[in-house]
Amino acid sequence: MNDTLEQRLRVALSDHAENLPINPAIERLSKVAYHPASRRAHLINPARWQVFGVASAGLVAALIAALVLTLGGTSTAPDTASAAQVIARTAAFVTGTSDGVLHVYSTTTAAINGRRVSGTAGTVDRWSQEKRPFDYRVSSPAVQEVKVGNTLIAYRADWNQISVGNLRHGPEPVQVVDPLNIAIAEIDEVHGAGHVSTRAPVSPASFARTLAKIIKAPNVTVNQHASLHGAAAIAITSRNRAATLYADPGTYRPLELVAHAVGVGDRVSAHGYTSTTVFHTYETLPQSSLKLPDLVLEFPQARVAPWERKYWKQYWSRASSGSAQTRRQALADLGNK
Amino acid sequence: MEHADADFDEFVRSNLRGLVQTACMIVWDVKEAEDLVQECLLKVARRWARVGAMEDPLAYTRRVLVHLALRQSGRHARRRAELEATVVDAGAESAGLVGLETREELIAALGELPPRQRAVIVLRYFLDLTEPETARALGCSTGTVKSNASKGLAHLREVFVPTLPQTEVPER
Repeated sequence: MNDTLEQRLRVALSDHAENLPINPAIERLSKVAYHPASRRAHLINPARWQVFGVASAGLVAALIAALVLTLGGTSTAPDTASAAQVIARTAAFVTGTSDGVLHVYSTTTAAINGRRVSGTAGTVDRWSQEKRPFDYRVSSPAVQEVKVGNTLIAYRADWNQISVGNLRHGPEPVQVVDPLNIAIAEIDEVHGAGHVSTRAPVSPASFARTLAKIIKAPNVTVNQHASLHGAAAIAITSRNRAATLYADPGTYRPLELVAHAVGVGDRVSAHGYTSTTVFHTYETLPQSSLKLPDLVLEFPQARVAPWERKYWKQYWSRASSGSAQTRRQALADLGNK
Repeated sequence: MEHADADFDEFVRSNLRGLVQTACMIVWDVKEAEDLVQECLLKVARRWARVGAMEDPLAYTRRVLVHLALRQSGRHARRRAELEATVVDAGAESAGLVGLETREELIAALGELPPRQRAVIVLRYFLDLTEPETARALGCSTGTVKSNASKGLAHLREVFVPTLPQTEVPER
């Protein structure tokens, strides 16, 4: 076993190393590194430049604002405060109340370099409790999934099968088809607001909070005069432009979420990937509206099977290997299985 | 000076990719690895007159890189711990997983190791360094290398078991 493991390790490490997406520009580093005059200019990679750029711009703006305030003139402070208010109000709308049930009906489409792909696309209707035990119900044309306490039950129409899993054991099963969930995970990952845990992609329970975290992250930009499909909208864009949330300027209700996988902080980039989620409904309802159907009763003809751990384990292994692309592919494979 | 420049350029050209690969497998992030290699090479470049005259400049460079990478991994681990503490329902468990069959899965399992154990595994099984060489690269004793390698392999072995035979459970 030991020999096998070590041999496999050598092969796996070698393969992994060969496939790392190392920036070819780094090959020019030798000249840069050795000559002191050119070090500074090249030491910081473009992603960091962006951060420094924003930080510097912010500092300059703050200095100007402070100067204007000191001199007693009209200041840019109202704009800043207004942006902060927009962020706070949108975040408040997104999270709703912890006693409520989050109801989101959405359609997600995905594209790579402008070409539409189907892997993570679809329409999903979700109701999720915003406090423990975070029960939820998710419906899509192909899958229905219900979590009650520690029990997870999913019905897949194409297999006519109900799978029952217990969250106390083994990796936490995740939804088979929930493009919105994936989009949020994408954004959180590429945004830099925080990495998605390698063990648990965004769960329905943390969905609203994750979205709020992204909105409230440092260095987001707020455009209060944006337009979405010809109508006025607020656009909140992450610092690296990886994600933009469009919200209604009057109510702050989320309208659309556009996420680009740009790979900041990620191991593998999925350049050119864009997912667009349109929120047809985004509302917080009373607790009583969380109706958790008994899928076994609802689909009496379906075959009932335990949730197979190995199946999910394979997904988790691939998902936790890091890249957004891998995770998407893993999910797509699950969907095709 | 020009000769030294050429030497250093050649050294970087020959070893750059390997250094980035090594750093990446320790910090588990390509961009971070590229930054670390830049930082490492700046340090080496400043001392190149001395380093270039060494018997094995690569060993010295690798030692600097591993030191930087482990320091960076420590920061990341702390940040990750803070972030994961805020994730609700982090009930996923890795224990008891079966059937690590593919290389990808083995790499994923490697990613779960603590950075120092992963560094030992990478140096031993990717760079094929001996235990004393690994110890020099890490700036620790051979005993520490053995201990870390043993723990790392033990973790991988835990999950690296043959696929269990299929039961009556239908495939999902």
